[in-house]
Amino acid sequence: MTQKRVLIVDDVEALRKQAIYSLSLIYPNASFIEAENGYKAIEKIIKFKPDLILLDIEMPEMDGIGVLERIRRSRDKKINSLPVIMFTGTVDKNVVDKILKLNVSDYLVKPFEIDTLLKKVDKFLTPEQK
Amino acid sequence: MKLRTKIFLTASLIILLTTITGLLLLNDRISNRIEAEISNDLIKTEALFNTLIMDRTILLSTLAGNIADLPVLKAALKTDAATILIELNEYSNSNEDVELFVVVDDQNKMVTPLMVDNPDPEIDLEESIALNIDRTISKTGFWLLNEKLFLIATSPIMIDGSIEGVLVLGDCINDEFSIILKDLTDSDISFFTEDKITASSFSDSGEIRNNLYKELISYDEDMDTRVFGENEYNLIRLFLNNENHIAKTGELTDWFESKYILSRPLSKEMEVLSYIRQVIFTLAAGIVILSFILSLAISQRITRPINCLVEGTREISEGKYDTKIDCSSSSQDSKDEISILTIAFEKMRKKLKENIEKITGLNKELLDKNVELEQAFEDLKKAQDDLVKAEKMSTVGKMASSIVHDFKSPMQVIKGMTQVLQMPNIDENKKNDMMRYIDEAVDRMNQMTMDILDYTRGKTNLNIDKVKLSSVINEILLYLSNDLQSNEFKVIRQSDFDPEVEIDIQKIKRVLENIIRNSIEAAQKDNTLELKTEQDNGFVTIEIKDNGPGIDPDILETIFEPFVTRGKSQGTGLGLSIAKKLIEDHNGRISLDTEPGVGTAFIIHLPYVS
Repeated sequence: MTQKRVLIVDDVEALRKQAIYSLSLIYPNASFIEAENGYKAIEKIIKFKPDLILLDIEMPEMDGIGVLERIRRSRDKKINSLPVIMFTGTVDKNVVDKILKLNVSDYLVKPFEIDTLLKKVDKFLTPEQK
Repeated sequence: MKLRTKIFLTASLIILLTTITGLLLLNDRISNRIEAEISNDLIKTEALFNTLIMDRTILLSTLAGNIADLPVLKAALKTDAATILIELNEYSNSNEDVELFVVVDDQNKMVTPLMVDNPDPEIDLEESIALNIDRTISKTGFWLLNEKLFLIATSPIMIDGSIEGVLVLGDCINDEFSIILKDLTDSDISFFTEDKITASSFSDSGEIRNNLYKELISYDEDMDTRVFGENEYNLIRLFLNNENHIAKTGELTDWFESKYILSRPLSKEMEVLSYIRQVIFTLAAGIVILSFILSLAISQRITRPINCLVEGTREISEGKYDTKIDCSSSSQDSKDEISILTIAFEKMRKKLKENIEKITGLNKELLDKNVELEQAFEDLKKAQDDLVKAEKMSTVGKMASSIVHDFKSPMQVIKGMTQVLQMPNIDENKKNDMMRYIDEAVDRMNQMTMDILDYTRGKTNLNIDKVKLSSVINEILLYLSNDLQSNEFKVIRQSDFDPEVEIDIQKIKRVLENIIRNSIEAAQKDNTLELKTEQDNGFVTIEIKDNGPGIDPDILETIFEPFVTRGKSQGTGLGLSIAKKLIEDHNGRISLDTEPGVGTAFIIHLPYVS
């Protein structure tokens, strides 16, 4: 059984740590990779080929939508079909429409319950990992 | 001068001139007529005078012939002259009274005594008579004897077929003779012989004769012929005895200078003439007055329509277009120039009125349009105000949304961390980390609320301290050293100029922190941060330069405006706008220089203490 890899992309360190601390309790065998902006995220996706990406939308330089677009545009089938759960501080309809069009797996609006995050992640990580 | 006055004056002048000319002509004509009448009268008198002289001459001639044929005279011629005289005197007295009775023999010697006074004994009367007899072949004529004028007739005394002597009979032409003629001709008669008045019907006052003489000699030969009236008469004017006289002269004989002067005073005619003139002048005055009145009326009649036209024109010029110009006189159908002009003017007035009305209409329309336009402008202004208000609202909304959004991340940190903390089996170290994250999130939220307050408060109250600029920069670099190190920043400092500055240290630190944090947030690899201070034209400049990705040209223009961010989750988007505001509060300025892929440099100008 291969180890599941989760990439967490957020410019706020506390939010990355929050996800890692909570998820690592549920999925102790999974490995977590961090990226604090869009460019670093792209590098790490190519390098580590994660199984799931938690992606914040509001970031400097390249934002979450930019990263999602690149993922979906990739010719690598493993990459362009990656499941992506997004975080956003806004409930702007345009933003939501845009990410749904880009085939986002799911999204969470801040501030959200950690339980909700865990439930959404659960769909993409097998129970064997528990 | 009014037209009416002009016409009146012109007409009056013409009438006056015509009247005066007419009067003068008439006066002249009447004078001529009267003078002609007098002349005719004098000519008739002259004819009568000539006839009388002729009659007398014939009488004398006949008498002489008869006496010469008397046998007693023939006999006496040979014997005693005295006897002859006596007898003949009786004869002649019974027939005609003659002043001169002379008989000469064949030697031309007088045989009769001289009956004529001889005032000048020097003159030989006998010789003079003999001379006259030689000349007087014609048997009748005028003789001048001893300065006296005589009308004479001679007759030869024939004895046995031969002339034995001559009989001379003569009338002395003297004052008596003249008076007789005057009674017959009703005209004064004078005789002028050899430079003397020899006889005259004028009473024998020397004064009149002297005057007559002077008057006569004052006419030279050319002046003798004077023209009166239309005909040429030998008439002269004489001024005698304080009276004008008209005179006719004529020659009596060719043998010596001798003239007769028939003259009449003009007083009676002058009276008539003066009366006629009075009548004429009275009439003329009447005509002139009447003409003045007439010309006044005519001028009024001519000028009335013109005045009416002038009045109409004035009204039009004053903007009264409604008054009809109607100058038609009593003769409605008169088509004189003024009527035509008036009609044309009335047409013009109507046209003008129409046009003015049209223009007024257009003007009103324009005014209405203007009102509409003003209304539209008002509406537009209101719309603009609304838009500005909406823009403000939108700014407020944008700000609210931005604030809400920016608070989401720290809120998520606090909420999520508290939930994770409650989960079982959490590592103690992690617990401490999470507490620290919560703490930091609260700090950040506090910082953000402070920013918003700073931005919305208007002018900031500055706590001014005098400080070396380098110490402020050192402090902020120390404060951010952890962040700079963790992001692998190489800090390069260059301080060519380090003056003292009067600043609110905390505020300027905030500005520097905001700018440096921007660089840290945009960090990539091999990051450098250069800080350079220099002197520039009365200011000290602080240049903060990174080698980051640069700023997107799309937001470059609005970079110092609020809520412009590069997408980061941790700021309000107020950082640079607050920095700009604080620098400006210090009477400085801030600008930036950026190039995508090369880096960004912020340049702050601040005044310094010299």
